[in-house]
Amino acid sequence: MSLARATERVRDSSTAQVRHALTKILFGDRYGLLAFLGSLCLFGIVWQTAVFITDTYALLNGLYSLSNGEIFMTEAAYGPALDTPGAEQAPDGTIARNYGAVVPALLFWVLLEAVTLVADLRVALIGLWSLALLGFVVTLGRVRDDDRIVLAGSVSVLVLFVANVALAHPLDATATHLYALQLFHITVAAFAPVLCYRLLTRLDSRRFAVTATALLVFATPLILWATIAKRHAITATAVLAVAYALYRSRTEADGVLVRRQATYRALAYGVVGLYAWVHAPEALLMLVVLAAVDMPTATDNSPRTLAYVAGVFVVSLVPFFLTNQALTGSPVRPPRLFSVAGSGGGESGSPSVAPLLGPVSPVTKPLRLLAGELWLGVAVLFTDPAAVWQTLIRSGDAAAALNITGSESVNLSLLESAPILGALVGGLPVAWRRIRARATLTRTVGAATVVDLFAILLSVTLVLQYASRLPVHAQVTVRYLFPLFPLGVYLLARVPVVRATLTRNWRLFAWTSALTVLVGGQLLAVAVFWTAAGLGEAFQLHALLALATALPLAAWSLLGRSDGRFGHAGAVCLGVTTGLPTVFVLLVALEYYSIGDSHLLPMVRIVAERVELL
Amino acid sequence: MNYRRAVVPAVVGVIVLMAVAFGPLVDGLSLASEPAPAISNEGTLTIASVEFPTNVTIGAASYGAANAYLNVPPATVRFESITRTPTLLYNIRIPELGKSVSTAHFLDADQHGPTFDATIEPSSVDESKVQQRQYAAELSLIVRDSDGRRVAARQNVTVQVVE
Repeated sequence: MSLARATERVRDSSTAQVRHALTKILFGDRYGLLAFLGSLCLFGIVWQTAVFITDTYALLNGLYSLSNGEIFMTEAAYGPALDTPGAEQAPDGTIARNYGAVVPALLFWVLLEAVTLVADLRVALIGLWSLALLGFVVTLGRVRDDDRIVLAGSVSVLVLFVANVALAHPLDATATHLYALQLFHITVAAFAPVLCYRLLTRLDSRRFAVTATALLVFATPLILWATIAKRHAITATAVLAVAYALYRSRTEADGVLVRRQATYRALAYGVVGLYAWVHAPEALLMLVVLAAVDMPTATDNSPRTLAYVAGVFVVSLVPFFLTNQALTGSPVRPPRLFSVAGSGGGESGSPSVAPLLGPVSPVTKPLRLLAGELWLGVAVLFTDPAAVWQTLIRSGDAAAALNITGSESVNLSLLESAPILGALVGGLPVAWRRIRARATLTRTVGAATVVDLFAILLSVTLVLQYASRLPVHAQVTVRYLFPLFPLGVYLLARVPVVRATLTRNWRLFAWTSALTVLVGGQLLAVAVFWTAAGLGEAFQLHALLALATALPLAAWSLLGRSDGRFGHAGAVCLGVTTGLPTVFVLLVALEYYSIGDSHLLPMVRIVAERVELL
Repeated sequence: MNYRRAVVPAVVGVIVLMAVAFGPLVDGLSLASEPAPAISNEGTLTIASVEFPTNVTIGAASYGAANAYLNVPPATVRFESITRTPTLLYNIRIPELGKSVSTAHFLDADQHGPTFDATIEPSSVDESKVQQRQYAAELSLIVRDSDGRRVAARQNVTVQVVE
């Protein structure tokens, strides 16, 4: 009997150890786990089980074909036809794109199909959301070491679950491919805040890391794009993963699994390789930027290390090569290599794909194309600065702000989507002072500086890569430049005045954000109801409010003071600019792009049905 | 007692059991479907009088949005009789802009009194197409009921373009 108890104890402690190690590997610590579960819950609130952008149809039909064991798309199970934006005619059949998202989504599809055999899909998905929330409150209770949180939280979760089930309508059980794709994107997107937290908590205090991670979640349109089966949320996670791995490759390697700096370095390249499977042109840009930042600043560029890094990178490209081989007959010819950015807008067709079908020099050709794109982007800065202005600062009455039917101004600029990025101007004088203070150029720089360089260089080149095609239609929140949101938040966290203010006045910041959402959100809804006749006016009202708050924020950050009243003013500005995008995302989900009877959570559906502002 | 050990598994248990209970393995329990919409175009609707608005405008959108909006004030409709669920369509046609917009009102005899304010949702107009100061337009009310579809009232109106 004592033996049995002893084995039990050993088993208990070993599962606890495994759980602990898993948490550490995936999320860093319990706060990382909180970021993950909290993000899942927030994404679940705005989740609509419907197709938001026609581009998703190609992915859906691609997944549908794969789930039937077919490589090429044969049947338009979703959408009007097979030739929706993003689908492409390869020599042997019609293919989709973003296979790096479609293939892993198969796993989610299998799981969902299994669930439909034993359970009701709607109740199961509501249950999944409730379990994420339960996980959140339990973890929160453990972090705060307070059993009351666990008890009250569990009861609340149960009440929410029962209420949601009581209001639930059945969910179409034949559209599991859609839910699987969305679940995959949601899961990947939830790692963006985790990685943001893990990176920042190594640079600064835990409290500051948590606060800055809240910026990524609430002050950018991350929640909006997380549930939309497009690559944008994946991109955010990918760039943050590279930034994190890059940082770890420059500091002491004390991971659970990884104990060599070179392994983190290899992981950075590995993420890029995996991302190529999703969207090759952006991965190529990431690779070039990563190599340009990493190689000159690395302490160890011995052939052995480089061979190791290159080896991991090639292995990470294996799924990409295999998919290309199966689809296009060439391992280095991915779907839609350097074709259109403007899917939906589609001003440039896919003529640039044609030359690639010929005999290609697998290395130089993509690089030449990338260089050409960047060069075009530089040219646009001089030939059409208005387009860049409309993309980054003010959309307004620009024709480009209009949607595809040319009837509503619904495409916000980068700053209008995330006014908090206005505080980045405060980084300019700091950067200038640092560059001047650095008398001689040294080859080795600090870990954080390496990541700074990566974030700045990638942001600039990404704008250039897309500059010749921007602004395009159907963007909503400049989704092509989506990586600029996480990279921007990272860089914000590096601006000393933002850091000092959020560390000192985080309570004021949190309260201002909450009030902006809860009270300001209602006032804004009333303003939309009374003054906006249509979507265009409503969006531009959000845009103007965002700019009106971005300006004082930018001025404050340029002033660069975080003491006393300046600190309070800064925290308030940061709070308001954090709350406004959250309100925007909520109104998009509940009103502007609320598709009838499609909200996953019945309680949210009821609210969406009641809210009628336009 | 460490209730954390009991509460959390209990909640998880309830969630899993509920999902299975509503599933295909258990008969009898199922989610309520969305109530079927009342069948429209049934019953009868006769209109006694209609008061069309006169101040129809096309105005630039506020907040610097690039589009313009066509604003049609409501038409006041007085019913002579209404039974069951007929449909009332309020339409504006501007031939010179190639534009025709209508909003359907699904009526229910139990819920509507003798008068009804029919509205047209504001609709966006491509501002670059608007060249004139004013446009001729036609407002109409169309009834769809058991007797079929007919134009119940019609009136010409001038649309003013305002800044």
